[in-house]
Amino acid sequence: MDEKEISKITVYTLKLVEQTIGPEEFEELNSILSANPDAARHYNSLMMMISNFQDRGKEIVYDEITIEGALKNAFWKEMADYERTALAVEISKEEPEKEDKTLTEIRKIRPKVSKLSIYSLLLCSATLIFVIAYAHLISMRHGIEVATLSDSMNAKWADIASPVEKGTRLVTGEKRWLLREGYAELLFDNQARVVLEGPAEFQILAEDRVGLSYGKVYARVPQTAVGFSVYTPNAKIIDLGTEFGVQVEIGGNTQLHVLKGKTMLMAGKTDRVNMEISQGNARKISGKTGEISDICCRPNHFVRVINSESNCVWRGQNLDLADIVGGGNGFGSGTIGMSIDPTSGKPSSKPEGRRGASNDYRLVASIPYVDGVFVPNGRSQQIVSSQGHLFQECPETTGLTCENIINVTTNVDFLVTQTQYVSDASLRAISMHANMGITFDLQAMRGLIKGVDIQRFQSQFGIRRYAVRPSASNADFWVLVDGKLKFKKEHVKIGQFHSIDIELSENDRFLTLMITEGDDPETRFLEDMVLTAIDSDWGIFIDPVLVLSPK
Amino acid sequence: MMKEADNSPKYKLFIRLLTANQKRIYGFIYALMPNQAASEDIMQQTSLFMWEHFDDFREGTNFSAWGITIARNLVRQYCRKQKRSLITFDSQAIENLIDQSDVFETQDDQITALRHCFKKLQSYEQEMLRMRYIQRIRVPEIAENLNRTTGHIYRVMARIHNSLLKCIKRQLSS
Repeated sequence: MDEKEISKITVYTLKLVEQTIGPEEFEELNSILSANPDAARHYNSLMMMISNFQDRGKEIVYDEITIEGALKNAFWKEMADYERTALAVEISKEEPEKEDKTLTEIRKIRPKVSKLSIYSLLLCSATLIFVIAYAHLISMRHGIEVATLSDSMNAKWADIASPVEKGTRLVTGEKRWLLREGYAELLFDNQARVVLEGPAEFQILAEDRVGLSYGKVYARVPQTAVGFSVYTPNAKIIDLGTEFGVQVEIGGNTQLHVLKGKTMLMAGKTDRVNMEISQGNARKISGKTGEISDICCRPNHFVRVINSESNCVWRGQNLDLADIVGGGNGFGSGTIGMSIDPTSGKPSSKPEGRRGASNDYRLVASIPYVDGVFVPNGRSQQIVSSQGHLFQECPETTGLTCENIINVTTNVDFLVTQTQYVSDASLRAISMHANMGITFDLQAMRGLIKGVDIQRFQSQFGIRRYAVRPSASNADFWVLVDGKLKFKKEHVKIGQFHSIDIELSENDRFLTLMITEGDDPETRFLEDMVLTAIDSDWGIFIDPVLVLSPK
Repeated sequence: MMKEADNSPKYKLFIRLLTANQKRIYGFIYALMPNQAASEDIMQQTSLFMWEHFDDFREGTNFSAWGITIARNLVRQYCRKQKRSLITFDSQAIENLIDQSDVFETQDDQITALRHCFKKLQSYEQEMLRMRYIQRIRVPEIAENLNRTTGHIYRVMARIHNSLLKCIKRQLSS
C-alpha cells in the first residue's frame, strides 16, 4: 500500500467512526478492505487505537495513572523515609483550659404540658411505630402473591420440575427465576406490566419491586403503580409514572433507557447519586466503578409487548403492511414475492398477465389483516370494505389490470427514480399495478398487539423503474379511510417520488390503498405502438407502515 | 440493591477475566460492524455465550482470543440474519478483517506504546487529539472552530493517526 492509499483508508475510517462517511466512500472502503489484507490490518490497528483513545483517552493523553501513581508513590516513600530517620519530637502536655468562672444564672423553665397532650403524643407515637413496623413487616414477608404470569412466548424456564405457565401466580421471596429463552410478561396486582426477555434472571422482591440479576426487562407503569422499582446489582430505578427498559449485562453494567415519562436513578459505589432521567434519555452504570455515563436511548432495544395468541413480539417498531401482503403479521414473518390476486382475493405466488375484471369487492380470507381487494372501474358504485363502505369519488377506468398485489423489496428498484437515491436496498414495499385496490383491517391489527395504538399511516410511493416504456407511465395514487378520501396524487410518472403521512384515530376501521390509470385513454399511441391505458403504470408503495404507540 | 447474580469463585473468575478483556473483544466487534447498537448486542451475546460455556475454558489459556473466536461467529450469524439497513462490510472484507484480527491481542502493549508515542507528537497535534478524544468534539466542529475545511482537518487527523501507528509499530517491534 502506498501512503496515499493508507491516508485514504484512515480518513474513511475516521469518518466511519463519526458516522459522516458517505455511501460512495463506504463502498470504496469496503472494496479496499475486500481486495487487500494489508489494508484490513491497517484498518484493524487504527480501530484499536481509536477505541483506546475513546476508552482510556485521559490515561494516554495526560498520562494520569503514571504521573499520579508516581507522585503518590514518591510521596509515601519520602514520608516513610522521613519517619524512619526523623528525630523524636517531644510533645508538651497541654494545659487544660481554665474554666470560665463567670457564671450566668440560668433559670430553668419547665414548660407546662397538659396530661391530654402527653396521652395524645403517646398514642400518636404508638400508632406511628405500629405503622412503620407493619410496613417493614409487610415488605420483609416472603411468599405473598403479588403478580401473575400474564403471557409468555417460546419461554424456557430453568426450573423444569415446576413449569411456569400462563396464569401462574408469582410470590415475593428469595427465589430467583431464570428465564433461559423466550419472553414472559408479568402483570403485578398494582397493574404495572413487566416484559422479560430471556436469558434473564430475576426476583420478585416486593409487590412493587423486581430485582434483575441479568437480562432485559421493560416496565410499563400506570399512575396506580407509580413508585414501581427495578433493582439491579449496582442501581435502583424508581418509576415516576413512565415506561422504561433496564438491561443488566453479564459483566455487571446496568443500562437504563427511559422511553416515556421519567424515572429516578440511584446508583454509584462510593458517592451515591440520585438523578431524574426523563423520556428519550439513557444512562449506563458501570458494574466495575459505578460510574454513570450518558448513552444513546434505543427505543427498539427492549421487547415492550408480547402476544402469544398472534405470535407477536413488539419492540416499538412500525407495522409493515408489505409484510402483511406477504402473509405475515407485519413484523417480518411474511414471504417476499407472495401476492394477492385482485381479481379473486386469493393468495398467489405466480405472475399474472394483463387482464380485465369487474369491480366487485373480493374478500381475502387467507390473511386476517387484509379485508379485501378490488379492481376499481368507477362505472358502478365502488365498494371498498366488507362493511360496504363506498368510495364515491372513484375515477372511471378501463377495468384492466396487470400482475398482483405483491410483497417485494426495493432490491428490484434500487434506484426508484433517476434522481432520488434510495439508500436502503432492502426496504419492504407493496407493488401494485394500476388498476388495483387493497383494504387493510385496522381493527384486526389492533387485536394483534393489545395495549398499542395505531397512530399514522406513512409511506413513500412512485413508479417502479422496470417499466419497459417509462415515458408511458402515468398513474393516480389514492388513500382512503373507511371509504373517505384522505390523500390523492394524480398523474405520477416515472422519476417522481412522493410521501404520504396520514393521522389515524382509534375509530378508523379500514385503510384502503388504490392505484388507477391516470385518465389515460383506452388506446393511445407511442412511437408507432398501440398502448393500453395502464401501460407502464407499475406503482409501488415503499416502506408502507402503520406507526404504533403504546396506549 | 441486589446481591451479585452468583458469588461463586467461578463467576468471580469469569467477571475478572471478562472485565480485563471485554474492551478488546468489543473493539474487534466494532471494527467488523461499525454500528454501536449492533456491536453492543453482539458483545452481550458473546459475554452470555462465554459464561454459558465457561466450563470449556481452560484457565491460563488466552481468554480474549477465545472471546474473539466466539464473537466472529456471532458476527457472521448476525450479518446473515440482518436484512434491514445496517452498514456492514461485505463478506470478503469481513473475512480479511477476521484474518487480521490478531492485532486486537496486543491491546495492553499498544496502550503503553501509544502513551509513549503521544508525547513525541508536536504540541498542536496533541491538542487536535485532545479536542477529538477528550473533549469529544467531532471533526466538522473542529474544522469550524479552526476556520478550516472539514476535508483539511480529516487529512490532518489522518496524518497524525498514521504517524502514531508507525511509532507504535516501531515501539512494539523493538
